[in-house]
Amino acid sequence: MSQALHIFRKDVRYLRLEIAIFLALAALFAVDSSGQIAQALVVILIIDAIHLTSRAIHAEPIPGAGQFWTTRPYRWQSLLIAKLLLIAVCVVAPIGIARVAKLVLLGYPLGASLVPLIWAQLLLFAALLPVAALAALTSGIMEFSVGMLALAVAYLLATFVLPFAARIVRVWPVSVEWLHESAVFFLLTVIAGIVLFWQYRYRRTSFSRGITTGGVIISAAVYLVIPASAGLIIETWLSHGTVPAIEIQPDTSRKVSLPGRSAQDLSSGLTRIPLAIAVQNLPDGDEVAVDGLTLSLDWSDGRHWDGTASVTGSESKNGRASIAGAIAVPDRFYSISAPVHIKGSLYFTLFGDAQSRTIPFTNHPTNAQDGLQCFNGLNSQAHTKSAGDRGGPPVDYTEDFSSYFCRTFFGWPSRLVYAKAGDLESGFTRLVSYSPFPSGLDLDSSDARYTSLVTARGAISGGINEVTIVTRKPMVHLHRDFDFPSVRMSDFLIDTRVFAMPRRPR
Amino acid sequence: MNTIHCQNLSKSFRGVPAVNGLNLEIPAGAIYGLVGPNGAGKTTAIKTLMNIIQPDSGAAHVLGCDSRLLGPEQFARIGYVSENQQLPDWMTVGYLMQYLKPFYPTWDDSRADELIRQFELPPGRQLKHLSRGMWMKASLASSLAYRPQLLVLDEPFSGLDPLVREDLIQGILDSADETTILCSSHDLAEIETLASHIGYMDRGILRFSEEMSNLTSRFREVEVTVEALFTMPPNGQWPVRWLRPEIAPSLVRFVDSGFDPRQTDADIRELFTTVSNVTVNPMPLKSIFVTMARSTSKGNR
Repeated sequence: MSQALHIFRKDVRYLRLEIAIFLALAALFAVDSSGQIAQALVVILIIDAIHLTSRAIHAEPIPGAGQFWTTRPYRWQSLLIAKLLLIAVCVVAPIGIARVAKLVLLGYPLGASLVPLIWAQLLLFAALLPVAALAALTSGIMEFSVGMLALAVAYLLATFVLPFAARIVRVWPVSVEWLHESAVFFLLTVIAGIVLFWQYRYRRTSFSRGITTGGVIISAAVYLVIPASAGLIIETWLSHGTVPAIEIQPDTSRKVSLPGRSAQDLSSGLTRIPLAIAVQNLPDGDEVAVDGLTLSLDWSDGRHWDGTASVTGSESKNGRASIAGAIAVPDRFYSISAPVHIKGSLYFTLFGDAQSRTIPFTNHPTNAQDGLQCFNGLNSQAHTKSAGDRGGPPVDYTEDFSSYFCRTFFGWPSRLVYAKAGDLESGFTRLVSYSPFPSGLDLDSSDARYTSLVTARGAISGGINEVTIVTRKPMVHLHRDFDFPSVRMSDFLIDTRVFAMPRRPR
Repeated sequence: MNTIHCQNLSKSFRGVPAVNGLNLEIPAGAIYGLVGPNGAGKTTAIKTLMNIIQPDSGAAHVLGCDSRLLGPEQFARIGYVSENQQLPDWMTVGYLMQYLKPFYPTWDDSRADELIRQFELPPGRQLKHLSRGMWMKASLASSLAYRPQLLVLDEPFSGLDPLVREDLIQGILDSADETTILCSSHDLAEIETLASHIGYMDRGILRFSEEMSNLTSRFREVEVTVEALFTMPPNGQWPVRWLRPEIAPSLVRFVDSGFDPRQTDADIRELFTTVSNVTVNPMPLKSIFVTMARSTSKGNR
């Protein structure tokens, strides 16, 4: 360990200027939270962290036959520890200190933030391992930059170009996206660990580059090829909650209007037909959030269609949830009165164990549970007003209105969150991740969401003195198959007489 | 006891052999000069011995350890100086010595100070601001301050002015009592002043390896003056150890690579019937290697 510290001290001396710049940036990051500047600062910090990491590794480059240190009595373990120590002390720790300062400045409770803070720091350290591994495969900043550029191009290809070219877009639901990202992150981190070990222990750069290339290809394949349904299956499989005896039925009591057609539907010749299903025998107080709904439709005349339904709404009350959805079918399949045999798979999550905390209704952020900090604030919404009879161009304008906000420092909790004032309850967005991890990888993962609580209650001017923040956590992730032998789409529509086969726009 | 021992060591790059079946023994306490033309494989051989690159086949032992397993324990007893080495240029001379000290249990502060004084190194100057000669001196000083058992020098004199060479040689010689030295060079004059043993490499092959005194005593330039007109005898009659023959009407000159006064005299009397005078001159190392290099290339052609 003493040799590792000795090398570490040398590296600190060597990189003192770079470290000072990084500390200054971290200090700015701690005190600044103003929109675009903060975002730019985060980007600069990330680039500087990558730069500092690579410089530390390149102080004793691994590839090449002319390296000073290879014929000196360096222990490979000491060298590796020294480099990791520098990353931990000079890159990760300053960010941690900046985060603590930011937490204090924003008034978040430090005690409750400790676990997510430590986790975020560990993730940051792990995220720098692939950077260190790439630096260990290169002998200088030029080679390293070319490597980073190649990886960036590979990432862009894997994320944007290839999926569209091959029509294999895998859009994962927000709820299980964490599995997708974690799998790739885990793979890359493990590969980085192997490469670092191999390079420092054996200095076999060609072999390590082979491992890296293979690992990156496997990671890209994992990212591209695995379908979202796999994420839903894994999430269900990982779930350990008590499984209630749930029944799924068509919900003909729920009437919906005919779903609209998106531009993509129109161009693809698709029409959306509605469906409503009821989930019964839920534990009292539990709420259903649908994660995925796949359907297989068979008409009596032999037509068949498989697809994924989009969920347009769900309501849970008295142990029963009603879920409204729509499935896009080809125009020629559009037949709302013909009986259809529906087989389906429903992936859903039961939220329960409601926790509440009442806080004053003020404009000043007040700490609630689960890392939430809530306040009454102004929301801005951009609008465009047509000139109408006056003629002339449309006019853009911004409308400010009061909304009730909740914000978090380490990402939105995996909870359904509601703000309750009197008898009125209003939910924040239901797009929550089921990630069991207390925080994410983003350097700035703060998140702010709002509800229409104040707008709805706005009529009672000054009538709100306190707000109760209610959270429900995911209790169990479930998968149920169902079979409805004969239903008509018209059963779910408000009034079938007004709907005919929609015409294709000319 | 040999400090370095190689058996059939081979290393190729993209199918081109750089070292081809190297068998080398360097006894403890020797100053071994490894010489040969550029591209002979000297640097590759040294890098293989230092575990900088891996051999394709064969084995080498350095300080009793398999060269492929050389690690911190062995490197604490080895000094390595190479013209191709990249030193941490941002360090000052003083900080370089201060930084290296904890790595070596045998580091001798007084020796380090002495070397800095002897080489007139400026302790406060960064390595990147040193001249090539000073840079090489700093490199050597940082490899001598812990009194290594083995000092490996790869082309240490290349591109240096005579004064710096002299300083370096003096520094190396000062350590010779306690250190086995392997020094590769194509600078024969310096090697001649240094080496107790010598090896000659060409095209990856060690052509010979022996004590310097043996080498210089067995090579002689011989001039034979004859009375009658001399013509080259047919193959088989000209002794194979006689190299680079030059024949004029009444004068024959050659290099005897296995000089033995009696044998050489007997052979001359047998081949040249009318000898009027024989002159035998010792050869400087440079002439020996020029002879060797030319003979080898002619043989290969």
